Amino acid sequence: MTSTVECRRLAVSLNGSLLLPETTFTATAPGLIALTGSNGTGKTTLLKTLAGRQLPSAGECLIDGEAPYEFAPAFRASVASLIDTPPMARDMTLLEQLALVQVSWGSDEGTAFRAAEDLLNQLTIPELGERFPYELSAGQLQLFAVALTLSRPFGFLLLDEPERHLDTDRVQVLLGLLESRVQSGALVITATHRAEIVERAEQTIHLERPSEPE
Amino acid sequence: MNAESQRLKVARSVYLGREGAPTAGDRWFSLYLIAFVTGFYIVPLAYVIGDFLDEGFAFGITSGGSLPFATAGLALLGLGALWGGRLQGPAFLTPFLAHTLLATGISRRRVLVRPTISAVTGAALVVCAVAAVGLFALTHAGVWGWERFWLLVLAALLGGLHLGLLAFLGQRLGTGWLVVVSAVILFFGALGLLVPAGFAASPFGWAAALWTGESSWLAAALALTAAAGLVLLVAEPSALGRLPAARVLRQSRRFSDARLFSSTGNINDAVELFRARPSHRLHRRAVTTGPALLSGLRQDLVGAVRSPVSTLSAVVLVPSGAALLAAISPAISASFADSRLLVSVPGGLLGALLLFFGTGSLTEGWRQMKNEFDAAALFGWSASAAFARRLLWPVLGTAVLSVLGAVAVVVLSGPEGVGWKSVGWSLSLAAVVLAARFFQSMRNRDVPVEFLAPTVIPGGMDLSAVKILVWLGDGIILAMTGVLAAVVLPWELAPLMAVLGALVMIALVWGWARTGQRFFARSPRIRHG
Repeated sequence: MTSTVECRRLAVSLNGSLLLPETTFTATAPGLIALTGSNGTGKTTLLKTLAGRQLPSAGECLIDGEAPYEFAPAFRASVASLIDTPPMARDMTLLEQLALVQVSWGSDEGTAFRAAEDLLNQLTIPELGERFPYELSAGQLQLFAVALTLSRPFGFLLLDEPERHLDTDRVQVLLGLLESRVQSGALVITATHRAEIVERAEQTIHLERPSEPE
Repeated sequence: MNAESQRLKVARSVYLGREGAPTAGDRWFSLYLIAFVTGFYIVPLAYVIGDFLDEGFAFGITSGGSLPFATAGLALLGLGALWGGRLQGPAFLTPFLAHTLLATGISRRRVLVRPTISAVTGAALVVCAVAAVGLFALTHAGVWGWERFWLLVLAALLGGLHLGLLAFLGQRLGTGWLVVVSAVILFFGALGLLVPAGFAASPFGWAAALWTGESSWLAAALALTAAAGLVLLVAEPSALGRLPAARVLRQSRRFSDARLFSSTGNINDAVELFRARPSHRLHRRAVTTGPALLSGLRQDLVGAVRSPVSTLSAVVLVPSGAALLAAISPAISASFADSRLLVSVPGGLLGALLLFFGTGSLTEGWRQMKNEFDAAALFGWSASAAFARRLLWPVLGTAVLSVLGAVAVVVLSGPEGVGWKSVGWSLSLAAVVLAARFFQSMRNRDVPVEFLAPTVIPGGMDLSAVKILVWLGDGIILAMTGVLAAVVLPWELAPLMAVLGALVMIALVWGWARTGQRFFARSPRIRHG
């Protein structure tokens, strides 16, 4: 399980543009951390760096003392993320896809389908289990993306505005699920624009817009 | 002119006067370009081919012996037109015109008749032009006189109109009737292929008879049938009036979206728009535990059953491509002076293309695997296990369907025909094409940014579009180059097999390198468990 994330003077630039200004923070599991800031302040860039999908230009980030590397088996086992759209199979139902993720992590078939049904129940969308992704609305697709991410085991979870397209009730449902994962010992960092998520977070990392060079 | 026609005319003139619309000058320039290319490139090329053809060979491919194959080929062409029309029929409007005009009180027939006739006529002209090049070469080689040439060109034009009408039928009919018409066409094709004199039962056979000069009265029968089709198109507008507006709108929007995706280099999303959506079958059967090879095979098999139209495309295209490659195998290693190359080269390239497109639905798993690799870690298996899971279905599917196509050619060609060695030849080339498909499936979805920068060569020409086109079609280029090299170079069997094997390995290794994954990395599950 991941226990500590530590970023020191982390900054990311691309082709001369500053995507993430110098950022320093420490977060310890278990906990729900809200990552806030207006558009363009570098929230997604920070999440991608923590997920090992973006190299820092300056400073460093360590997860349990090691730099993130997305191809390392130990890192993949520990860190889950929902930053871009997760892979969805066009010809499998939602239940099958959730069960497939469980099976890939060692569950047997029956357990995998039961866990998938439980997850859809918790997200209050049990009726969508037998649908294909193309039969979903934007909000339902977002809930399915969340479900896919939560269906794999993890110690550290990174989310980029998971409340996108969701109504107020569903945001509460999502919060409940994240808090249950925190209670199980996970560290969750989520970029968000919703006040209710920030209010229930144990810690907030606020990013400011990069200042223009003089 | 009545009020309805007047409104339609005004709407069209407003649309034609929009910013960026093609001007009359643009249209004349296009015509000039076509005339220039035809006069300076196509006609001389056809002339050279005619010079190159030896008479014996030219007479052979137009003799009565080729009648069953010509009948079956034309029937397949008809089937292609029918289902092509289902994807994109000739009753086509741009999304703007479709939304604007189909939502008004102007009758649908009046709105659609002009674009439909234009599209059908355009398709007929293209078919006629392509046919005319081949006919010119054969006439120049002395197979028949110029009178017969013009008769055949006219028949090609009328045949093209027929194909356009079949495309319209594909657009107009419901799925049930579409299956019935397909079955009828297939029946006629099989009849012409398998039963002596069975060609006389259908217009496909009549057209084939005209090609081989088997029966002169059939020419009149074909011409009458095609002319009747043309009259039908003009005089029977109610079929247009009852064409579901939703279908026209859907096709119009899809075509426009696909053009937009293609223009930005996103071929995957463009093609995805034309894929049949899966249907609900085999409830919860796609997931199982067990060895990676078998559990993945089951997932792919269930996916194939859920997408029958896609699967059908593989079942038709892969054996057709393999059959074509088997049919040309006697001409392999022919010298450059051998006129059989005139058939074996285009035949080989067409076979490679059919195989390549046929493997599209068999390799859906590879596209899903690439998406898995590109996204954040979700599954608990290693990269090599992910590869193993999606390996069996495309390999077995391609192998079985290729063997079926090649064996059919061996059996139909008789004891003096192509021989069993051609099955191995066909299967080897299918392996090359499948490896090229893997190579293309592992490519990133977006055009590399550096490709968008201008590449100016001396003379001021920008070749960036060429780079993008090569990047987009790298798998097709690899498949066609491999097949072409195998067809035209003077190989001995052993080095040919070694080179094909090396080509397959290179495509696989290079394709894998595109994923950025380490093949021998451990599964994350080991650590987690």
